[in-house]
Amino acid sequence: MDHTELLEEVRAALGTSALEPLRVGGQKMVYTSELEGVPCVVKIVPIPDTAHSDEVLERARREVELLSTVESPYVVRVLSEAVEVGDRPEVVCWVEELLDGSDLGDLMDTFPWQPDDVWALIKDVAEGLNACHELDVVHRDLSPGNVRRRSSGRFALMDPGFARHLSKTALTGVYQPGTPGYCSPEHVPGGHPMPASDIFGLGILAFQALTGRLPVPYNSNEGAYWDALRRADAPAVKTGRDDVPDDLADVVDRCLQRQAARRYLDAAELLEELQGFVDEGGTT
Amino acid sequence: MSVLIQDGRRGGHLRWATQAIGAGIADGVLLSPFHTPRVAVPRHHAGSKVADDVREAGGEVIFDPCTHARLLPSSNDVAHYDTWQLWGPAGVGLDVDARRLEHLERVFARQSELGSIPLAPTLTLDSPFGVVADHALRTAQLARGLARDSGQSLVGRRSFWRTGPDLDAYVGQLAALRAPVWALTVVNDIVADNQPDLADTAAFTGLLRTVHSLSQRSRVIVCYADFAGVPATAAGADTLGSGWDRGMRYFDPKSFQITSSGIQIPASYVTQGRLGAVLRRDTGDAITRLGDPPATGIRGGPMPADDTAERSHHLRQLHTLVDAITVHGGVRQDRVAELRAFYERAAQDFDALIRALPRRTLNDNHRRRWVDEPYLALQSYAEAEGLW
Repeated sequence: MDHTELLEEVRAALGTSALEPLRVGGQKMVYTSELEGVPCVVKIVPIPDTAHSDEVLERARREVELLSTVESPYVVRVLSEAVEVGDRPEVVCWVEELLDGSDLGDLMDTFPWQPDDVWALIKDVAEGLNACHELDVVHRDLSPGNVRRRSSGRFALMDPGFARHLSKTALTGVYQPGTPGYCSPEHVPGGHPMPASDIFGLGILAFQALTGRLPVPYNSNEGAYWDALRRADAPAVKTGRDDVPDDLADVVDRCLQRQAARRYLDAAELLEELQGFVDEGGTT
Repeated sequence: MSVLIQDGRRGGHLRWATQAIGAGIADGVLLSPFHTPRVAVPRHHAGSKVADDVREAGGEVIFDPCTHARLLPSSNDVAHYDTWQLWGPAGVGLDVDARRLEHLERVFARQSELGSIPLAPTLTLDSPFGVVADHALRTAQLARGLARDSGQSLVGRRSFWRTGPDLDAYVGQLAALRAPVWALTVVNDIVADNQPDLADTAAFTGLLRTVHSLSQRSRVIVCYADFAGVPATAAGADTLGSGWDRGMRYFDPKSFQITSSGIQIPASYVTQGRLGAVLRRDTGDAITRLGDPPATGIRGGPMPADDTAERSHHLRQLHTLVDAITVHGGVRQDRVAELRAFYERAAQDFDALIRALPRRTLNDNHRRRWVDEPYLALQSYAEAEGLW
């Protein structure tokens, strides 16, 4: 099946209007379209004709299953089931709501941000994570490409393609996915993902938004990167920018504690602390 | 809370424990199924009677199921233990869910009957990796599933506590259980004498780092601790397990064996409070001969005339030191500073005594075991935390 035929089959299977490319490349093709007159996003994941095909298919199904379960204005909504197209099948596709605004990855040249913007980032992403953590799901790949800033100024969590139900996690160590520069100590091979790992990821995003740099940078040396995550404490955010308010610095630094036990254990605990600041009139 | 009395075999145990609680030098007991039977037998009260009497004296009762001791290959003194019927038809062990669940349900039921907090059982760990660590974690997770407010236990040999970031990662998984109480134990393979052994600085630094982490959300009890556990109070623990016999102050596998050579009665020892040390009575006599006020000041009170007086004297000295540290509340820097000053003063006192007494009576080895090694563990932990 050629590409044009494939897109037509996808469109027909999902019941959308014509597909317009938004982002093509990597592990996922993203198109804009309309579903019953409402603008939407169509995501298409090619299934490789290799031994990994089952894994790719399962990951896509999981992403859709998770998104359909999570109900939060801070997590992108899925509007269809995962549909397999082609005889092998060749792709799996589904429909998500179209979020306006930009991915954090496209906004990095606007860093450093003002503290109020970073408070909003932390709070909104924590709300999205909380919706996942309440279901015992860990996102595991919190990175700038997976967080979107809406035109309203609020943030939403996307692409939990590597998310994992804790109850389905093997006890023995396995390789954890993640984006270099945005991994937690639990991403180190042999580690175990947990909600506190997402908190570390959020801490990285907040640190980067405040300072323009990564707390534990990745310099193309995987071994050195894993070692730094395991053994080194992240620098205090004030070492990168001394005008960060104390309460914001405390939150970011705690998110970035090397030891999971010393972080907020999950998004609910972080939100509880943020609520305390709101009650004191400290944050937006 | 500051000092809980570990369980023991001696006939007077309950009376001595309630007297200590009444005198304000102990705050409760850690009951062990190995040492207190569920059903009364000659010279040993039933667990319910012990719990009632301790509570009546104003003390706390915690039933430690001691599963980590039961599952040591050498443990075979199960006469009292078996009266508690802590295992179900699936058998003894924490290697499969059926056994774990049966054991957990029985442990929690016994604790409820005794008015104890629920405290989950665990295994003795050599490493944060491997099947045993996985079994312990799974048991802890099931315990939380059965009783959301369950306390948890973490027990390991020095090889476990010295694993650095791997220990931290394992503790991170345990912390996610949000247990309100943690009971930590350092397992010794052998207890050769009546002195603490903190020579493995890396292991005890790991213990202190773990106490620091867990105490941010939970009460932390360090079992079988005595003076060796005092650095843990600087790191955030609020309660130490102690007592008058060696098997109460140190986790000694012999305490759970019928081949044990018998009860270790420290009648020939005297606690020197200002040294944070328990020294032989003849050494205490030699210090006394140096004259007062130094001798009484170093001892922390009059020379205990007998075993009964020494039991009280020891608990009072330990309690006083723990109180001096925990009075600083959550400010770890102040807790560390308090203990650091204590050890530095104790080192000076030791030096003065070593100069004044014959080498066979007191020497650098005593100072090393009671002061230098605990001090090094405290320093190593505190420097890493920026608290030194």
